Amino acid sequence: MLRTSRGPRIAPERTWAVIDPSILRGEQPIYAGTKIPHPIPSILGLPDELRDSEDVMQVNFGPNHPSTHGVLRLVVDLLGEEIVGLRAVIGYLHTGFEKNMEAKTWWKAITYPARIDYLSFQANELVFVLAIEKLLGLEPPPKATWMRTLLCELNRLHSHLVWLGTSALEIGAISMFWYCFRERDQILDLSELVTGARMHTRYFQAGGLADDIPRGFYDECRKFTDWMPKAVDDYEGLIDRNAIWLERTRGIGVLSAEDAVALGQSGPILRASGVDWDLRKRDPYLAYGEVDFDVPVYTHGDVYDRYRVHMEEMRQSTRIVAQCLDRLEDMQGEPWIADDRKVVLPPREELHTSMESLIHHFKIVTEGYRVPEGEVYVVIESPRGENGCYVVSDGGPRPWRVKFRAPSFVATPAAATLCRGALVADLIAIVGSLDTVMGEVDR
Amino acid sequence: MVEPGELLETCRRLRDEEGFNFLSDITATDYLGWQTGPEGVAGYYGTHTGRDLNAPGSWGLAALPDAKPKRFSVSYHLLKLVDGAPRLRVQVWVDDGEAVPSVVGIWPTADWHEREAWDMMGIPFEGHPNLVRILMDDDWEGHPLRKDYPLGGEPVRFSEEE
Repeated sequence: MLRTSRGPRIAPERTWAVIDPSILRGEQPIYAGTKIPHPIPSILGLPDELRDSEDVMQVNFGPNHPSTHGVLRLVVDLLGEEIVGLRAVIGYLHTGFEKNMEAKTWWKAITYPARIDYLSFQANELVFVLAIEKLLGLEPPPKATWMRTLLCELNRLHSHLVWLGTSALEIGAISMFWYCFRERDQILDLSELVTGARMHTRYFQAGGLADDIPRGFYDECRKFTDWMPKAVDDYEGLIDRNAIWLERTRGIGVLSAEDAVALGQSGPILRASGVDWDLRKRDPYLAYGEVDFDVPVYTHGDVYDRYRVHMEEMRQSTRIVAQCLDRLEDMQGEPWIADDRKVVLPPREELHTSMESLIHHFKIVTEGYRVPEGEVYVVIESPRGENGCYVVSDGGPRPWRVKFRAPSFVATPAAATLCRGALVADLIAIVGSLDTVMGEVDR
Repeated sequence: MVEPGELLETCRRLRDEEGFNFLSDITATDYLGWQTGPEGVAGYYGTHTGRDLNAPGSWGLAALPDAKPKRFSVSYHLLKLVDGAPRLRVQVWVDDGEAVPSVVGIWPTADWHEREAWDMMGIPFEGHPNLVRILMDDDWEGHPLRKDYPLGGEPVRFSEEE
């Protein structure tokens, strides 16, 4: 007997009345001058005159290709060196995180989000924890808020460094990779110092942090923030005025501001297209309203401007980390997690002396805490942009539905717009500049 | 909350007149077994009404959650690109097999979101130019994020029963 009971297969029927035929069938674009392909925005279709051409060669780029940042397959139609058709195929890394989280208690489900986007693990962890806290109405103490801000910015640096290293490597700047990973390793060391894990830390809990900030962290982190601006100068010294780098990035993969908004792009991609949009400034969460930083905006929308935005953001993130350190150093001895025994694990040492603490500990670990019924959509600015988490609770100890709005999932189909008229060598630069993480695309 | 028939008109008005020009996300949610308990829902032995939370091993609820109008909800999360980031959730309720009009013509970013909702939840989007599976294989059967889709176990190929 088959162990799965599969439902009947439902074909997408197309028998209903068509409501707005001309636009929905793609006979006309949404607005004049758009470069978004239609009728299918995510597929650059082969032009009619080339459909039967024998000069067009179809090439499978991936799924196993080192520069796809995971397992992405692009079906590319080439006319000579020019890209005339492009279609992205995803799903190779689909692991069913959302379904799995529905079967875990809230407490255990916090483990999952970090693994969805393995480069900005801290940001993903944060968005899920913020969603739980919003449903619970739980307010974390200030120390936790500042530490979360600090770790999220360190994480942004980590993500940008991996992006810079790998996408420069793909365009041929091999030495960038070593320098970027040198600083990345320092960040992972800091992460290990605080949380005990280099990646996938599970340091954020509903209500605050898992543990106090260890002694010695402030000094080590201060050393890093002193060093980091020099490192960014070094990176720029290597490639910023490098003729090959400029040649391969300037004017490549141009995305206009209107197209970027219509395609739902966010983060560095949107800011490189001239849209001044950063949730940390526009709708401050955590402690972002109290720190001083700038949002870099560039206007050309090409690969080079996306690179510029990333570089500037690294500088700004370092500034934020330094300011968080200033505040945190005055908060030593303050609580790091909310005092709510129904949600938060009791202090370890109490378990040996207090019966109530033992019961609470047992209940939270075995049954989990219950989250009031409701649905929330929480959005933060992750390194890749608008990172949303939609959570539904039925009042029980498990999430009813968890959905992540992954910025990479939205960025990947934009490749069809960006590659219009590009050459095959630009494809690597363009896909790289979108900064997609396939774990997040496929979830 | 809007009716499926009014969705396109509402969305167009929200985009053009209210300024919600950024579609953040489309999420489909399956409410099968909501309120009624664990029968036939894999991995959900928790939400039964008659159980007592204080009894060992129970996962009972203190109160029943509010009833839902239909089995599936499709939530559109809209954003206005101004200070304060005002957000709006447009929700459509459908039963199994009922179609929702596609908003790809209004927000091109909806393309993959709707494909994902079709793939994972089996909600057909009427007027979508390319409604095919996105995360699962093309020949996959069933829609994995539905509540009646089993959590564990994969069919064994070439087993005696097949």
